[in-house]
Amino acid sequence: MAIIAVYNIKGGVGKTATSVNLSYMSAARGNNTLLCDLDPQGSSSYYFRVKSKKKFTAELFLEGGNSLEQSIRGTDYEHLDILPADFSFRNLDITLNHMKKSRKRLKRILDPLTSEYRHIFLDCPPNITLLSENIFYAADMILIPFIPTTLSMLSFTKLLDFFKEAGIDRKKLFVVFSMVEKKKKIHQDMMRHFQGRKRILSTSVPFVTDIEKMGLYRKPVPAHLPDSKAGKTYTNLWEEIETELLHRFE
Amino acid sequence: MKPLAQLSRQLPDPAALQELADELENKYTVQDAPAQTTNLCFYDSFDWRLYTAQLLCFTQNNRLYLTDLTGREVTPPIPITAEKIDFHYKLPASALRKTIAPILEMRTLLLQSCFFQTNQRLRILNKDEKTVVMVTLSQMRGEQGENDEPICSVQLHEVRGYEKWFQRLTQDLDSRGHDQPCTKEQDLKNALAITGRRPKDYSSKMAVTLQPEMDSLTAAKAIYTDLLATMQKNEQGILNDLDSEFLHDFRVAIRRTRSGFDMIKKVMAPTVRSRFKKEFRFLGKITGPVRDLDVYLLMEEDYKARLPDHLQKGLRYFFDDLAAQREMEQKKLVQALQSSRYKTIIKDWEKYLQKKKKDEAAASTKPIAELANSIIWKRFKRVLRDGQAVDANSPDKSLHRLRIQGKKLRYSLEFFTSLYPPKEMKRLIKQLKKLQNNLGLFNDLSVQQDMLNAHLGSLKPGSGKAKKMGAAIGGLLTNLYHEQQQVRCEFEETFRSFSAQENISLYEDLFEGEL
Repeated sequence: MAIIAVYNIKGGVGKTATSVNLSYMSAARGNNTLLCDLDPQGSSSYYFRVKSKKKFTAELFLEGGNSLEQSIRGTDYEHLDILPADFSFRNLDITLNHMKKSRKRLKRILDPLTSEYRHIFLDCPPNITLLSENIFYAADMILIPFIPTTLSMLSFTKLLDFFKEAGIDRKKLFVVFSMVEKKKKIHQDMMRHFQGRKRILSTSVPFVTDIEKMGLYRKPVPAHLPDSKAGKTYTNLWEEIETELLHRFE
Repeated sequence: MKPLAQLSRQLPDPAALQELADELENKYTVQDAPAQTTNLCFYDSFDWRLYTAQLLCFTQNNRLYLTDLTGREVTPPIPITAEKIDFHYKLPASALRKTIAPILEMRTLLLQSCFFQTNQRLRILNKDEKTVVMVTLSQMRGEQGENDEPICSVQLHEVRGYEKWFQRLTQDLDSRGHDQPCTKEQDLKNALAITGRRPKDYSSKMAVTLQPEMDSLTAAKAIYTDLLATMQKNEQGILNDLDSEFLHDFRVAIRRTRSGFDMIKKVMAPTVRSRFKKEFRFLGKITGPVRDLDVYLLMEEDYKARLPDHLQKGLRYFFDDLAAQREMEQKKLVQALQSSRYKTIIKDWEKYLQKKKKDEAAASTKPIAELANSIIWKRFKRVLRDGQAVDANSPDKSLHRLRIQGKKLRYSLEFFTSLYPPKEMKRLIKQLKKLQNNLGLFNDLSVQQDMLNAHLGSLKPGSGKAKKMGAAIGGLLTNLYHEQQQVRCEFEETFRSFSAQENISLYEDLFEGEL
């Protein structure tokens, strides 16, 4: 059992692609898997062609229990369910603020689901807010898709500082290089800089059109193009996570 | 979370399947995938323990499934790589294994039946082209029956969050009218029927139906015929050494038959009776050694739990020894069961049982109902008398003798149970079982101590291995002795409830006896 958050302060780094493709891989290996789309933009939900119920709101989500369970949808893939995002999720922070134990709320509502699902993925909105604190607290593992540039480096340093200040276990953090362009020198330099460090995954995700086009074919890459470079990358990435990292949480 | 709904209906033929597929395609956006043929194989123990517990176990696409009789998964399926499926403890650790272990115990899983299933999956899509219901059209064929008409069915699978779509499709199926519901249990029955079998076609319980006015010889033969069938059904499992219980059931049938010779006297011609008495004693003798060793080997886990860590190694040597002995004895047993003497006994016995001559002995004209009453009553009186004579100072032997008497009473109740009201007979047997359990446990513990003592005596002194074994056996002896004392203490209470006036009156009423 593990709760895996896919997070970055910055937007546009490939969080949704990572969440969608890894949760698909987890399910394809026979694990009951739930993907929670916490981003009000609802991109994960869009990729799986799922919409939230009209009555589903941020309040109902934070209530947990039945109202949350009833919003879970089966995807087109065996063992993979999704909790679609609702536009009202943009207010999750404000709603959380009014609640008791506002930092531990998310963990409390996810805990009952862990008997049903072996892996729960959280596709997180970018920024550091009360919601992200909830996510850090609830997650066993925080996967950070990271474009190897100086700007990303800056935000990563900020995140580490935040963890330190908030007293959150930094061992939960893992970096996966994302949208990597072989031709760009800066990418190569940055990656070399990090190579061999702890908590840097060895599989990196390239910048390829097959991933960009997910919005068109609306399927996980390994399902639609299993033999493509991108498809194989996600297969390898999941294998690395499953064999080298996840056993710690069993 | 709410389990997902599933619905299954049987359709008359492949044409009906096609018709349904066309109907769905006219009404909905349907995405279909090429049909896939897989092999579906049902597994259960020889005596159908899983099915009796309302469970079905089968393999499909390299996975082992455990479902209830409707086909709903009870535990998640597990991947299987092994060619052969046999004992539960050889399966990978999983919820599935944990569920079946206490049900199967020492019994091996056997392939009960196999068939080919050709499935075509249809996805019903909404306007976002999202799958909202899964439909499976399936055709089943026996492994050898390629030319037979297949058994056709349709299954609907709910997709979480799209309950209304599932209801819509259910209505579509309902509007077709008369289709029968179809369950996984039905699949199993259909698959077995191809080879003329049915679930639970073996049980170690006796199943003889007697008529009260039947003459005693015919009735006795009916009982013996049932027991002979049990022996024959278990023979192959013993020869192939599949698990310990084939031999166990085989031996129980021998014991019951021998007990029949003693209880239903004067029915068979004296020469016949004395011959088969001798022959069945021989059968008991040749099957004894392996069974004795099986009993000890089955105790392995129990013994392990009785000893501390530092004695475990010696215990392992001890069980290695037993396993080696058993292997030797099993070879002898197989030889004995393939010998001409054994084959002649079985053949002659079968011939005798099939012979329909009535004038064999004088008493055989007596109706069985009368004879049954006096037999059971006599056995009951004996148990009562012997049991009442046991007190705290009686030797262990008196309890062992009482155990044998209890067994005879039990067999007599089972032989003739069809002549009496089932509810009362069930009560009597349940009551007797409690007494037998106590006496059986007491006896098991003595036999085990005797065996351990004998083994201790046979150890060659000097070697480190022998020392370790000696220590382990010593530890077990102490432990078993204490438990036996405990069981003996419980005897008094158990017997008091067996000999309660209420129970005595029930025997008096049913079997027309009087103390």
